[in-house]
Amino acid sequence: MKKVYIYMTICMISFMNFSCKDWLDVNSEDDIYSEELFSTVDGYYTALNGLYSKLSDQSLYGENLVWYFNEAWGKSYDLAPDKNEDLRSLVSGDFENSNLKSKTEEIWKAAYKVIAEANALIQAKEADETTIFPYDGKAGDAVLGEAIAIRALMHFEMVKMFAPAPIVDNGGETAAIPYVTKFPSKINPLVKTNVILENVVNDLLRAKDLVMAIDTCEDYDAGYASWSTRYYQVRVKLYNEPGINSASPDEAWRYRGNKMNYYAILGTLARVYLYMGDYQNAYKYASMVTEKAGRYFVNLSSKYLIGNQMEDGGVINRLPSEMIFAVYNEDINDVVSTYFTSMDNSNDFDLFYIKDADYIFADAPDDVRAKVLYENRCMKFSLNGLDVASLEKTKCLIPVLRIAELYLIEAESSFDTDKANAINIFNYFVDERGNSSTLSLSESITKEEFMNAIVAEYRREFISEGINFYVHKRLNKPFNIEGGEGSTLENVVLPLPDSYSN
Amino acid sequence: MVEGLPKGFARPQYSSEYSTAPSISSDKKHDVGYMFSGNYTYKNIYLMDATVRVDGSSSFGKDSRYATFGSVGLGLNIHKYEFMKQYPWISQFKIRGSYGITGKANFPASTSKSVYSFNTDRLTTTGVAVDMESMGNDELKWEKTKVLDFGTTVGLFHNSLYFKISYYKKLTVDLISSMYLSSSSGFTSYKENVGEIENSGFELNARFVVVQNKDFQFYLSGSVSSNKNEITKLSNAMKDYNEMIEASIDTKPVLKFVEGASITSIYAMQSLGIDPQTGKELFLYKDGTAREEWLASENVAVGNTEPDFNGNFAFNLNYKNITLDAYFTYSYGGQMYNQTLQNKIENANIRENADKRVFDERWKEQGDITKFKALTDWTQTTKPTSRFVEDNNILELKSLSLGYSLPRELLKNNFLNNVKFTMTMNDVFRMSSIKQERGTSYPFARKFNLSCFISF
Repeated sequence: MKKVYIYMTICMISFMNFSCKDWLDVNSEDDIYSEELFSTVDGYYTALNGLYSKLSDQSLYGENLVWYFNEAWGKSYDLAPDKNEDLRSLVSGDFENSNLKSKTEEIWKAAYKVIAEANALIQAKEADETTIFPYDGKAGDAVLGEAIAIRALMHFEMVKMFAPAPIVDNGGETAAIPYVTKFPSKINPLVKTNVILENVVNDLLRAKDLVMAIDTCEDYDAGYASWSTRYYQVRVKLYNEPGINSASPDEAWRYRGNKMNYYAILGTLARVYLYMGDYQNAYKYASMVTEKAGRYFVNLSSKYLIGNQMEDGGVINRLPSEMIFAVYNEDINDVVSTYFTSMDNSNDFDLFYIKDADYIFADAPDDVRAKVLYENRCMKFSLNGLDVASLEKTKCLIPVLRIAELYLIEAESSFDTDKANAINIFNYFVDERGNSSTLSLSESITKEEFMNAIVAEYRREFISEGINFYVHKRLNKPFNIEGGEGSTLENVVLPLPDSYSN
Repeated sequence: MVEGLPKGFARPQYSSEYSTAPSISSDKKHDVGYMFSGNYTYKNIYLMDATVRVDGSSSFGKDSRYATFGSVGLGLNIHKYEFMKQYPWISQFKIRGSYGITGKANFPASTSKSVYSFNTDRLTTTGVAVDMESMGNDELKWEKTKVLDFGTTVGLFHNSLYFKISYYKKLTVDLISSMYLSSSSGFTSYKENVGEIENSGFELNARFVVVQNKDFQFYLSGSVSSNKNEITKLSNAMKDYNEMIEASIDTKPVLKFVEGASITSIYAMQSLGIDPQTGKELFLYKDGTAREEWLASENVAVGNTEPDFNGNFAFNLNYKNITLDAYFTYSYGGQMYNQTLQNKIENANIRENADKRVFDERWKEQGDITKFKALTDWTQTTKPTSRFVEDNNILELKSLSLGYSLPRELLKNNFLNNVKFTMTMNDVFRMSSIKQERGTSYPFARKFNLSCFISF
């Protein structure tokens, strides 16, 4: 009997040793753990794609931060009384409304999810000493830079929504949102607006240096951040002109002109500095982009590209050739067709009508942008009347930053120090939109008149792009609505969502 | 056609374009265990057993995959001693005690690691994208439970009176629990070792043979048990978490894990009722003031779902061919949050069909003394308040059954061996301090069963 036990014990022990050492190292078939993802260059690329993909979701730039929530907040739409309760509550300041609250939650959660994923990528890249990236490692720098820039961008969007503007808040004294730079980060205290904006700037400055080589150095053929052909792969690279027309050999670096490239980061910096009231830096970074405009690079589109697309198939009012940063969403055209279409209204549609459409263009009768409105509906996102096949990928682009805004930033931020230059830039801009005789300004203009002209230009230029609201919030200037709106700007700060503290 | 395969991750389920995209879901987890166990008995008086085991699980972070567990038990059959023979009416008298450590890994492997999945719905201009699905906690450790229990079993008069009493103390170390997270972390929950929890209590089982003879038997049995749980120690991770919350500037979430608290507590605002002037609810803040604003930081423990004691009792009665059995359960001293009432009356959508009380019993005009807040505030969601916390004392007759067997004499000349009819009723009655509203989707069911048992 004893022998049997001994044999059994030997069998057992040998079985134990036989079992392989990595038995407890399992990875599920359909999930990828972060160690696996951040062990290859392609893994980093797909993680970065994940950030862009989420930015293009309807929760963020695919809807809310562009033509839905942000645009409606600027009182741009005539909202039907029985629809869009979230937006009507937003406009009237009923921030306790449950539909509005869930919409706000959705935006907040999506933004901080992007931030968490960006932080996971940033942390993995910073600790990674083994993965070898192409282009002398500059591709890895760019991936890191883009993730940092996206983290900054999301914080900037949130601070604009949930904190009072610095102009009414002693430069940003209120602690409104957290700035998250770590993953995982379980609890995140609220930070003062001026500190948030400082962090945004520092992140963008760091990101700018990281992506610079890929986007501007001729040694690397990866990133072309220039607008080369109208419908194909938008790229940026200014000093390597012969390479402009060839597609990047590497899938990860195509469509560079729509990503958080070097110029998109400069443009975002200009935007942030202007929001902070730092005119000197706003001007500096805006002009770093505009001074390249026209050199195989984005510039203001020909005025013949703007117009009534139902009559002229050659126009493209979304102006992809002006986009410095845009998100790409394959489903966007199905989504927007409910809100913007040339088809007649019926109960099936929640059509958005632009409020005061005639009033907006009252003093600019020749403005080509007036034709973007078709029966008071904005035709920037609708594909009705367009040759859809020829649009290729541009039909799925949603603008986040266009070069037009940088001209307006340059003009506004140089007025105090160089009035002639400001007026010059402004006149160039309105001339490009067909207003040379009516809107051009003269040297005798006052600051107040000038600012009114700038604000009116934002309204005309960015209909349904979610930008107008923040112009008013930043300047603490009441919305310019037909018949006037009173002397104060109200309901422009959202309360923190409940999920922040629960 | 398979398209958009991410490089380096070429599995068909990752493709974004596939004529019939396969979907696969799996959760792979490896466990390994080694065990030793033995027992020893001496003279049928002294009993001892012991086990030791080493368990490994892939669910845990790399550094804490293996853990060792064990248990030891001792028993003493006092009635087997020689000197006990002078007390023949003591038929059984045993004392025993045991101490053991067990562990568990009852969560998916992905909770300790951050998991990504491919977004196959949409491509980006530069290919396939991934989504992070869960935020991992790579510091997650085994949850261990140390159990000390001792008890005694006493049987008197040929076990016609029988008691079993035991007392236990369970200390769970590194308890794994889902924690709510601030949405600013990008996620809303994750798993954390929150600390040590002590459960202690007793259980008493008793059986009494009242009558037992050829034609008539009557038995009574019952049990009572009581459990108390308390968070005795918080993990360092939890302490840091709490400290950070305390230090945060604005609205603070409620600290649900604090030393000395119970994990079954109900946290809500202490309500002072509906203000007859305004129709809004007034809350009592910790500083003694009454205010209207609901704040997570002002939530307090307003009840405990765990009862002070609960148990059951039953009787079995046999008279000749007739049997009658009944089984009752009871519970006393706990509370419950009446979510149904809150959802149906205050959080109801009045644009659709709603409960009659939404119109009848909510505050409408100044001076109304009501339990429910103003109807005009219907878009504002009611959040946890002590107004909906109710005492939850229950007495239930879980089952009642009546049986009749045909007398043997009747069957004697037949090929039938036994014929028995039984009628059973389940959930016969329920007395509760809460008027429970189950709705139509999960109604209270009273079941009747008629059965006939025939054997040949």
